[in-house]
Amino acid sequence: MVSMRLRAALGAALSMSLVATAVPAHAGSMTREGFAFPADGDMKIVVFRPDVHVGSLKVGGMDEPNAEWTEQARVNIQNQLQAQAEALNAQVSFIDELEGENAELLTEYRGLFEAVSGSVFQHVTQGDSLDTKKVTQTYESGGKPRTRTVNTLDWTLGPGAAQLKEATGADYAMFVFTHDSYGDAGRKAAQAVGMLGCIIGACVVVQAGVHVGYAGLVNLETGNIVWFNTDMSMGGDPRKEDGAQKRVGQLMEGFPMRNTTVAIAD
Amino acid sequence: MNKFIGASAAAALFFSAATPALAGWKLIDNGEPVKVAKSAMVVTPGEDWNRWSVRPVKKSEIWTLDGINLNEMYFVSGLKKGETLYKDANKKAQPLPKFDGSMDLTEVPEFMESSIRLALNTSAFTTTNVAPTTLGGHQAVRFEYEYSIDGSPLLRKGMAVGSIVNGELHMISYTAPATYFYDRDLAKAERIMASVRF
Repeated sequence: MVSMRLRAALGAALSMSLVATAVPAHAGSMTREGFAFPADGDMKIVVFRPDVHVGSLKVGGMDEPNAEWTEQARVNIQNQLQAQAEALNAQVSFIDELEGENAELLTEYRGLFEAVSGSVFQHVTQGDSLDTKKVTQTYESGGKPRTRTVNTLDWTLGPGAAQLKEATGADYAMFVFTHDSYGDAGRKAAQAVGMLGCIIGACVVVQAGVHVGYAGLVNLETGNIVWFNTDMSMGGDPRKEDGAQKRVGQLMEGFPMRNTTVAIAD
Repeated sequence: MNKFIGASAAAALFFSAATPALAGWKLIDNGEPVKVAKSAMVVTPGEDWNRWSVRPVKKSEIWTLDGINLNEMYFVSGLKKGETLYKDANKKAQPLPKFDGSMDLTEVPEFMESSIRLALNTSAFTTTNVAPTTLGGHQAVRFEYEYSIDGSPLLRKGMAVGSIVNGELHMISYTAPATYFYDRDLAKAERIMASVRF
């Protein structure tokens, strides 16, 4: 019986630690190995309508969407993306939706990007490494050559992504996703107490909320993900303008800047 | 928790909602015969794969190339009467169908379909192209399927081969997004299925 109880407690602690591991301050901006933007010539990036969700996190863990907050945040994030796009040294266009058959195409690739992002998140950001995605690098430390194994950003949407190039005229596509859940009054009260019950030997610290986001850049010639950035505990309240500015700054962290000062064509 | 996690967890839902922290992957070398699903089934892949430490049911095994929501090989070998194809995670409210050794091959696609429908809580599932084949020298059934999960626009396609030997089910399925991945890796999956020895 004791061992059974112990197992139950361990099980509980385990599932709670999973809740915890889903939220650590994990930031990760990665560029595909060997990737660099072409040094000269025009470069077009299309930014698709950001996928934004804002809601309330209830005591039981339910995430209730809030349409007003979501729309406000989406507008703010879009505005900030437009404002910060100037720094990218490229022609940046913003497209909410495509028309006709291309609308379905975009939906399909949004779905695929989401699935690929899930894999990158699990196997790169969270470090649940896949051996087939690792490479060994040599480097020098203390005057001695050493080797280390690192995860690479080696994911693709496939060459079919070139259909989006045809539809938009862009060389690269950027997908942006944010999800925020703010603790509501009941949840905040539970947070003030600090713990939500200490049962079978394990205490649960109530999360303040969920604030995750990612941005990814796809080469529309090959479908390759050339840059991916995700953060499981993002700052900035996207419902407010200054918060959205901070949030977009974080989403764009590590963006592979172009190594030139080519004038941007109109 | 949300759509982002949902994307990665969609396929994982099949198996267990609470495993990633303990999960780990091991390299499966190409060209080397390897025992799968803690059983007598041996396969020889044509390229390197990653094997998950998580086993949805005792005699099962999962391999992937890019992540299980992008390409997934699911092996089950020696499933006995009364056992489920996937983890029976919600057995009180929504129990998964149990294998019955008296099933014949034509019932295998239906067994898998109803298992997935319940495990993923999806009604959008179709089975097509059911045809006879062999698995490791035994009579088997091959079929294709596709489904989507609530909240995701992504259509997933799959192909499976199943055989019943001495009242036990042996099955290998391959599932991937219909966009790009399914076609890209289908031949790799078929090669693995064709390499089965018992």
